[in-house]
Amino acid sequence: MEFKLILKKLNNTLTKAEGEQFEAWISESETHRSYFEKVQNSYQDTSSVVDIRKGWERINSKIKSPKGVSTYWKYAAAAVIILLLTLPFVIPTETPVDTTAPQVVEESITIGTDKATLTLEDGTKVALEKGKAYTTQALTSNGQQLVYAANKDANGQIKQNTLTIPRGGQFYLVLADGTKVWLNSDTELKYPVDFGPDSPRKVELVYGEAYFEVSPSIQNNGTHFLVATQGQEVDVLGTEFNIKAFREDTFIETTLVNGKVAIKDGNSINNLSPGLQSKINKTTREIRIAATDVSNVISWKDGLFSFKNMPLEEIMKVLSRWYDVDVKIMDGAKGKITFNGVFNRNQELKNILSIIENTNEAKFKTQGKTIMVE
Amino acid sequence: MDSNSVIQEIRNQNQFVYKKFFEDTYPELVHYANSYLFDQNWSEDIVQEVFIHLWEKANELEIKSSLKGYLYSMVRNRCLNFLKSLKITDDAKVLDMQSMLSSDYDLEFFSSDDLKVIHHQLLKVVEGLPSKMQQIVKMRFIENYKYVEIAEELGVSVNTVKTQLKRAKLKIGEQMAMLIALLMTQ
Repeated sequence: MEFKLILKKLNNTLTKAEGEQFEAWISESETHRSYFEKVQNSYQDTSSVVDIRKGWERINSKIKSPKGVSTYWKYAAAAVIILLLTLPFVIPTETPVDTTAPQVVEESITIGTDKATLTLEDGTKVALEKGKAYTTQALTSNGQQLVYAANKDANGQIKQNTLTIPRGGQFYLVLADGTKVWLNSDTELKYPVDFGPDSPRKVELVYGEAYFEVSPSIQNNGTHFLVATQGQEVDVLGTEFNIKAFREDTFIETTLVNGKVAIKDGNSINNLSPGLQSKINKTTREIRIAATDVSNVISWKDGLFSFKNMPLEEIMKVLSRWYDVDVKIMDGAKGKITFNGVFNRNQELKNILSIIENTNEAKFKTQGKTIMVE
Repeated sequence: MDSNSVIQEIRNQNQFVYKKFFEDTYPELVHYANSYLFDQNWSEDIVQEVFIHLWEKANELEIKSSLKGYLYSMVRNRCLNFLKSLKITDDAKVLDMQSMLSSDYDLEFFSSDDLKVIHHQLLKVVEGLPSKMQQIVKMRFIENYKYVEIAEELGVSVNTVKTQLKRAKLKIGEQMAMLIALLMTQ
């Protein structure tokens, strides 16, 4: 298989025939897959250090030493090795030449991480982030995810908790019934600590984006799972789906990956089957259902940005939430230009911007935490 | 010490010269191998093998141009053979072009047929660069001008040429996947 098919795969531009060829190649051996992953990763990370000393030691142990090596040579070698030990060797990777004038120290733009604020039933707020463990009777968190314990004999009043993900954050949550929820940046979810034995399991996506893998009804006394979002209600029997309803969004978008859900809004009820997406206009409440590229919609949960024919202004909104930056579109026409591309979320914002800049369709200027599109 | 005396000394099994030469060239060769293999460990292994080969077979090597060029071409051949074992080919010369751009060394061992394909790819890729940068890249990599010659021709300083080339390489290198994909879909 030609190497360029790997590049085309990385950019989602394989034709059908090429795609089949690629799949055949990658599934042929683990080494093939691993090479593909190495190529993929290398486009995200270019820095590398070569250890000359280690390299030399390996060679030296393999080559035949010349006869009659003098003691002098051994001492000399030891001296050189000591010298080498004290010097860091770095591959001379080219550093960009900075032609701009020196700038004042600015707030730096950072890559999003796992973080959230948990609001308990009594209003107590707990900051969850990497390295900070938090445990109570009902829940356990290692700072990167939050798991509620199943408690079958829950009685009386059901306590509500709220998980708020800031801009630049993401989080993973397991509810008491075993339902898994991935939460994107700038998102808030309200849910009961426990679910009663007979009543529907009801949660509220207050705003933002969440991906649900719902624990099936049969494992929960046949109870339905309901997600309320800004007037819309999704009725679930056990399935996987994504809801996107950021505060600045015009639509509530519900995309079904697996199973079956009913979308209730006011008096209207619409069933979705897998691969379909419903879009409800938040003001007019008009609903539209159409097929969509599911993997594109849910790529965020796997740590990717996937932009398919997406206008630049939409792309910038997505980026602004993850990198917690403000975006100003100076030239409205530029905002309408559409782009295709898949990026790993775990990389610097400037990498992504420079790739977009390289199409010569738009220019970006960064000032502190504000990105201007020109 | 020039390239000829280096190989002569290595033939005489002068380990000092050999080691010095290793220290001078190992990182850049690993870097070069890595532009084919995308794996630091594989790349280091291949370059180490090449150096062992150099030490043990120094008397049998027929080096037409420079020793360094010879090692680069040996590294490339071994990388391509390794890729063959992964059932990867590169008739489109995407990897060659990419490694040519990312290497600081003049790679002089390509056949004229290979060069034709590489230049063709390169021309497509530089289209996205600013025009001056584009011109310098073409003069350097397609017309094979030296830095000084480019500087004279364009009436700029050698430093400007170097800077522009560095930036071009960086730009092309970093965005290679995206650029090539864009070009190939057109």
